[in-house]
Formats: sequence, C-alpha cells, structure tokens
Amino acid sequence: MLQLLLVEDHAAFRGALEFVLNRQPDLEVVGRCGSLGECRRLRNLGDVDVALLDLNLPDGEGSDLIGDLREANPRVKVVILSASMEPGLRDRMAGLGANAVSDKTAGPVDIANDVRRVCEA
Amino acid sequence: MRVLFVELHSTFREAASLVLDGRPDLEVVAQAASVAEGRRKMALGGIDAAIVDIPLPDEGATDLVRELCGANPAVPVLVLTTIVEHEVHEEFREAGAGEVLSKRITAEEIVAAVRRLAGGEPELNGVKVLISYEESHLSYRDMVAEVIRELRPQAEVRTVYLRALEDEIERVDPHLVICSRPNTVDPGGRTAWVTLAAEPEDTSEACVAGQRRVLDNPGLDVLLGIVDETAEMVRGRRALGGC
Repeated sequence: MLQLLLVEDHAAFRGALEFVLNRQPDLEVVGRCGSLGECRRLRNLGDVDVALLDLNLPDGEGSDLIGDLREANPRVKVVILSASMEPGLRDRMAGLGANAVSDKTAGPVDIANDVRRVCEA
Repeated sequence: MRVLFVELHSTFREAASLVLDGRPDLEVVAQAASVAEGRRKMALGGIDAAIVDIPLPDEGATDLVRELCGANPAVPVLVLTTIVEHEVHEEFREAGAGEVLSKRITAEEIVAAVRRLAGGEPELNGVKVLISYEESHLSYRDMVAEVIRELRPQAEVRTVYLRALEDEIERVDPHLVICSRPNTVDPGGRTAWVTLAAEPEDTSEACVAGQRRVLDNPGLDVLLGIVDETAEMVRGRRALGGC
C-alpha cells in the first residue's frame, strides 16, 4: 500500500482527489494540507511514500516542500500537479527534485498511474 | 399528464387537492363521483392515468376496481385505499390495478406513482446536477462528479465543457449547476447554482432558491450539503428556480 500526501489548497478538489485515490486498492491518503505552513506542521511527513503537490499555494510553490519531505524521508517520491503546463515546467521541477509532473487536465486514473509509475522507477 | 379522479367519498377530495397542488406536470382533466361515471370517462380516453379511492373495506371493493380498470385497459389505474392488508392489494392488482397504495403513504409517493404509471420520467424525483469547468481543471471536474455520483446515487450528474454549458443547460434543465462562473446563461432559471472558483482565493458563492451566500474555499461536505438541499426542494416540488 502506497501512502500518499495531498497538498492542494482548493478544499473541494482536495477532497475529491482524496476520495478518488483512496478508492484505488493500492493507494491510501495519509495526509492532506492546503498550504506550505500547514504541511510543515504535519507530524507524519516521514510516513509518506508519494507526495502530490499542487504548484500554486497561498504561501508559495508546492515544490518548496520537496526539501522538507526529503529530510523526513529521503526516499519519498514527488509528483507535481499543475493546471498550466507552461513550457519548461517539467525541466524546472525535475531540477528541484520532483519525480513527475501531472497535468490537471488528465483524468483521475492518469494521476493514480503517475503515482505508481514514480514508485516503480 | 392528464389524470382522472374517481372520487367515491368526500375525504378524497381533500387528499386530491393536496396531492396535485403545485404539480406543473399533472393536470386533473376529469373527475367522477361514481364507478359508472368513472367507466364512461375512462372509455372516452384522453387521459394518461386514473386515480381511484376505494372506500372502507367491503365485499364490493375488488369488483369496483375490476369494473373501473376494465373500462379502458390502456389507462393505468392507481388505487388508493385505507385497506393495508397485502392480500387485498394483491386482489386489486389481479383485478387490473396498475398500483395499489394505502393512504398512509405521503403525497409525494402518490405523485411519484402517478408519474410512473403514466410513463413519465422515472427519475423525476432525482436531482439533476451539471458540473462545468475550464478544460485546465478537467480532472478535478471529473473527480467532483465521481464523488457526487458515488455518495449521492439518486443524483443524476453530468459534466460539460464550459464552452458548451449554455446548450447543456437548455438540453438537461439541471436543478443544480456547479461551475467556475456565475449564472449568465439564464439568471434566476436554476434552483441552485454554486460558483466554485477555480482558485480558492477567488470568491465562491452558493445560491439556493434565490438565497445567496459566500463560500470560503468550500470543501466536498459543503458541495454535498447543497446537493442534498437541492434534492430536498426537487422532491418537495417547492418553487424551483431563483438562481
């Protein structure tokens, strides 16, 4: 079972994403938060296998959390969620240590598959 | 739907007006005060369903049902009765009744039964929800739809691209629209409209039956609550629209 952290500031979308991912037999959402500050206060960051990070957060970019996450668990995988697939985004995120960038225009199943893929790699 | 009432005793008159009050899709086109008159009106046609109230139990009840149903087998007959015994209901069905309800049921159930019998929309009591978002948020739109479908199975949930919203509203006539934009398609024409901003720092707003309230980054529980509120209004056939 892969343990997931959801970082998304839109409450309804975060709830929907959690619901859909939890229905996958091999995935379980163990943490959720809506801002960098809120995420940094979570006590179970070390338990997370895969973090899904929304890029636009009220107090910064989701990618700002990558350092905190790796400190808590050096093997954690990071998937960035983005609504705007601006040119160069993938490279920029890879440079910051993200394992994948998921497009919000993709279906829920694609996001689940991205989570699995980064764990297999 | 055109409905014939066969009123065999006076208390039903009250029930009838209660049941039909404010149902835009039901119309009482004929009334009859006896089975003989009911038979004549059934035979004339021009009606989609008949409701007959069977008075207090007596030996003749099943015969009354048989006589009435036999007048025009094409017209489905709903029998209302104070008799609650299952065996008697079975007898009425064998005598031709399309459906038998004891009068302990609610007005809503009577209306639903008439609609069912007359071949109306089977899901008429369900709330129709339409979700529309920018293409950049497609997966989120679909996930919200999936959650509502799963947790509120009686709701009929559709999704549409923002650019096709207007056509879809006209086609589906949804009770509740969840959309990144306010209602500029038919302002006031929906029972409920949630403007769910794509970015949480932008203002979201709920409108239910003309009552507006600001939502501060609403969660799924809030959306589901509005689905329930809207469904309640649809079930009660209360004044729809206003948003």
